[in-house]
Amino acid sequence: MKKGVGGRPKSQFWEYVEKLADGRIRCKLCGLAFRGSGSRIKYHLNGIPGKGISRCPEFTTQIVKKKNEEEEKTTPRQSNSIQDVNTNKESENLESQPTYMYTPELDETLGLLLASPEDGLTYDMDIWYNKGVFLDDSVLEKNKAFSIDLNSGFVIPTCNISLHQTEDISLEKTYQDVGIQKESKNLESLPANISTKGTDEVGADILQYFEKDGFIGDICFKDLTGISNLSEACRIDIIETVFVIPTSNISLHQTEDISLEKTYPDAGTKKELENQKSPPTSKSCKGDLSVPFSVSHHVEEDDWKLIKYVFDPSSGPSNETLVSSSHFHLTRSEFTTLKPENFLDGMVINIVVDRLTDLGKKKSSLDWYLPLTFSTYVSNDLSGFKETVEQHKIRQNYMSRLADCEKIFIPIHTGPNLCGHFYLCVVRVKESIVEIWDSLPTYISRRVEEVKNILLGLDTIFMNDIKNNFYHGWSFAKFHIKMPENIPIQPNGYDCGMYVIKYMKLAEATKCPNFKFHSDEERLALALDILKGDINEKRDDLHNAVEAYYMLKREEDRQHAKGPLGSAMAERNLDSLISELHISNSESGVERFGENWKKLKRKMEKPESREVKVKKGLQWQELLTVKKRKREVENRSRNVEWRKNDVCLFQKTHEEGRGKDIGQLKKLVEEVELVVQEELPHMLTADDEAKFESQEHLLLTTKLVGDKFQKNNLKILEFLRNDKVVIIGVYGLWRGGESYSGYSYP
Amino acid sequence: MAMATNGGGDEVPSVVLKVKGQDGNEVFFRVKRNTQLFKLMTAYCEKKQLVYKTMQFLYDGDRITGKQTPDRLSMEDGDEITAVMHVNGGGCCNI
Repeated sequence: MKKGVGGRPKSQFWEYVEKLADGRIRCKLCGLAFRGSGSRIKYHLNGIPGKGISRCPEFTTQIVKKKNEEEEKTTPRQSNSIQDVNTNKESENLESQPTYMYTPELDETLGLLLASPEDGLTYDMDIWYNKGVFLDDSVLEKNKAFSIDLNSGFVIPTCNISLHQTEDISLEKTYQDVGIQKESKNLESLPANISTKGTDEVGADILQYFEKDGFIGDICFKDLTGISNLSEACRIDIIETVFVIPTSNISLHQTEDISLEKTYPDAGTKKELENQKSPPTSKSCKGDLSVPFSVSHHVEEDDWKLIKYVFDPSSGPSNETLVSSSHFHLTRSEFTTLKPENFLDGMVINIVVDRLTDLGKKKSSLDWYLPLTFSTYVSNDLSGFKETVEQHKIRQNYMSRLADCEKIFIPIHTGPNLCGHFYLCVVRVKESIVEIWDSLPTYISRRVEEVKNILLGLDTIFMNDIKNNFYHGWSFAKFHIKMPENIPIQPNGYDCGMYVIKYMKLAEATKCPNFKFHSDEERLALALDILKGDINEKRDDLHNAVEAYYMLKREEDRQHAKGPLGSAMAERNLDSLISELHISNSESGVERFGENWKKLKRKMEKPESREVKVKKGLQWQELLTVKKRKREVENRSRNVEWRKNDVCLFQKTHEEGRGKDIGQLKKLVEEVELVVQEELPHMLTADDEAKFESQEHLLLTTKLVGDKFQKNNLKILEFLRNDKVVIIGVYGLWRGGESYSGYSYP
Repeated sequence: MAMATNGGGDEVPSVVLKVKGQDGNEVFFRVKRNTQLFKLMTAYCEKKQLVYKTMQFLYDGDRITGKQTPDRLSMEDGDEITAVMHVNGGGCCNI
């Protein structure tokens, strides 16, 4: 069923047609029969002029009907939501909506293709696939409607300018910084600046951008002024359509993320956010705030503790070995790639392979699981391959007799080392079939080449076995390579490793995997599985480490808890201290002095420990507001520091036996009292404290790597100032390419 | 390579190990038998201008931890350690 490159899923346009016996296809809606391809169906349905096929009169009305039905069900939307009016000429809403919309008229003039969200989506996918780019589903969902400029293949999501929709903080900020609210009125003068650039040139420009930057995470701007026959209103519409395909790393998934939620109210767009916000994908489990995973099912307290410890970067060095199986081990930095939305480290797959092999040996399974290193050796050099395999004891460790073997699972890594792709190759020895289980089926020919190479490698290893066990001429290289169609496909750009693991785990039971996949849950389950499973030789060590870690933490907490007991209590203590001092003053007994001294020291501890608490609270607030801490607070903590020094100094002189000046002591106590009485506005409340505990969550979110983002930001600003630029598009792949070009282990 | 035992005046005998990179190039190291292999691995990375964190070292198919010593792995002269680049991936575009 696959068409063209990429083995991509069939375009949804095919739903609207049926195949005729003579190879032609007929539109289900209007009954027009024509010979053609997917793109011709698109042209037909969307009525693109100049493509040699007539417009389907039924298609738009059908969509309108659907929309109207939907609208009746739900409450009417906010007026500036554009997806309602896509290809919707007849809709009554149209007249009531002033701007922010595409009219079909505009579409025709511009040669833009507009389709309903579903259809638009597939179309986009096609385009992006053709360019060898995978666009994240979530991105498409968020942006709802897309249009495509057929001249350039440039994907234009048709959400309106109010960038609130796209949930891109940085850009929103940018807009506010510059203060450019591109009001349609301001821009009415723009059409006067029409440049002489022709449409073709514009298209070429864009393509050049694409080629230069590999289509990823860069800015492309488009000068629409060259397109003729545009009514002024249309032009303004376009101008208003500043759109954003989120650049690489501004992860849209993290709408639950505190940082995002906090930023939105600041930007004053909470209202829009509430309107736009898609229903949360998963309910968070209570107490998971400090844990990077958001899962819906219940997780044991101990497990959370373990996870918290492992993913807390402060709990140990990054090269600490957390998991150790018979042949491999995982350091902390490698293990933490299990964090949501991170690229999985190949070593994790190796560990899973070890585990599956162990399990298989116990059950005397006939399936082999090979480590990732196997395919690495193959791709290097086939000449010394046999020696390498022998040297690395792959046969001893992972294989048994070839004659008995049923399936061989070979995880393969392809692409650049630090930003590649995993897929699974399943060799069914008995059936002489090789299947490629790929969660992101692109570049099929290359995959097939790689797999062929692997098969040749297998032939070299098993030369003797093949001679003895199989008929003459039997070889792995002659196996039929195929790609099953109903393999679950990853919905994002980071989970291929997880899918490979899942495939391997499920493969035993089923011939073809079929499962529901929730990224966070799977990652959490795998993390726990690896950490707590029998495979982990470090399990007991880890258990002890976790215990120790929480003991330490509790100890710290207890010390901190002393702090905010309330200044009232401290005051009372000080009062009694002072009164005692009065007595001691009159008696001036040395013993009494020593006692008081001890008390003073004890009292001194309180403001100190409280100061720690305040600092913590401030840190938290800084995280939220990005404001610098106030100087007064700085001063006060310095104040406390001074008092401490004073007390120390006093102690020194006292020890030296020079001054047993009760008066001085009294003065000190008074000073300490002052400090204690001082109001502490930044004190951490219990509520804040809970949030503060959860700040690990913040730390664990992915950050933008490299300065590309900054550069792009500047570029956007520059374009905003430039009058000639009417449309700025930010395109890029969610979590692809640029953002990840640097090595970014935590 | 075999005469490489008994390094200098030290009592601890040394062993010559070969580190083979993915490109097939080989680098030889002489280390004492009780030296932690961490030293060898970082030295290799420095020589080859690689980031230690991105590399993994395999001996007989097992991954070497930094704390292991040639003694513990009962390595012998001329034994080969394979250096492999770490891989990770998420199925992104530029495959």
